[in-house]
Amino acid sequence: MMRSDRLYRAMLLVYPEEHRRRYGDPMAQLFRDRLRRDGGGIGTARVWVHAGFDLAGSAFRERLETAMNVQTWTNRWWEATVILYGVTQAVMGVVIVGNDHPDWAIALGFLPAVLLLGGLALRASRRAVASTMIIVGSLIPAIAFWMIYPFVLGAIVIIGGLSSGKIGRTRAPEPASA
Amino acid sequence: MTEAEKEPSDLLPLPPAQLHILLALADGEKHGYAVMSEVERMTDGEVSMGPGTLYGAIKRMLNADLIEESDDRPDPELDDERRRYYRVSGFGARVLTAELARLEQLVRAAEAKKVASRLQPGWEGAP
Repeated sequence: MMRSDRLYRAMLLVYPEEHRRRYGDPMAQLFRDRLRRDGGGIGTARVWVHAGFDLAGSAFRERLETAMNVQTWTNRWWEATVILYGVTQAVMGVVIVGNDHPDWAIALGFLPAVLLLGGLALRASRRAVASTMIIVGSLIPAIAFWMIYPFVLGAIVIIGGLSSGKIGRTRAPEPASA
Repeated sequence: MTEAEKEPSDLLPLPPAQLHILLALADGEKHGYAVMSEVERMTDGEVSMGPGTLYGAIKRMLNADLIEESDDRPDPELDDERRRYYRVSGFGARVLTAELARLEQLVRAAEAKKVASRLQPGWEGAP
């Protein structure tokens, strides 16, 4: 039992740190309970197979959600980056209008600004929608820059890499009762 | 957004894991193992949630205010006081009621169409 518990706890490392910190102990407790109830001989193997599939599926989901979770953006610096990005896009939209470009180009110029700033405004009430809006809003100019100025994308990737390092250190507030 | 402003319909349809957990908690607060056991009992063992699935769903349900952690600890002599207990919130109860009504309506529609008997092997429209 002790060895199984230690191994299961080690396997929990595949979950994001925040999830592990909040739910690691109860998850290990539940695994022990399950092993106590169903373990022994083939039962132990069955519990482990079930736990393995469960862990693989749920850890992937938690990782994905953590990567996309706008809720963890408590960091003002990160919010400011999105606002700056959105405002820059809005200015570019105005420049496109001023240069008498076709309608689709004008729409493409303004769309990222609407998505970025709209996503930021919606993040408290509609997290999933806000997250999608900001990701799509970020991708449109990135793809456009890649097609027009490949070297600009390189700069964006460097800035993005630095900012993601900053985000990675941002933690959601600990729930009062957890 | 306050609880009164939230619409249960925004969260429908509920993911199966969340529906099972809400049903398991409908008759009182429970800890993780009790929830898992109750789900297995309700579904005759058809649904068995692992720790990752269960606590992933619990996290999402806490974030959506469907459930809340209970501050009332049981008698330490009766249970391990380190366990976390969960209960259905007021909003969670409204969401569960709305989801069950939705499913009931769906079953009624299926019965009206006699779906089960039509899809028996041999029927020409059966897949």
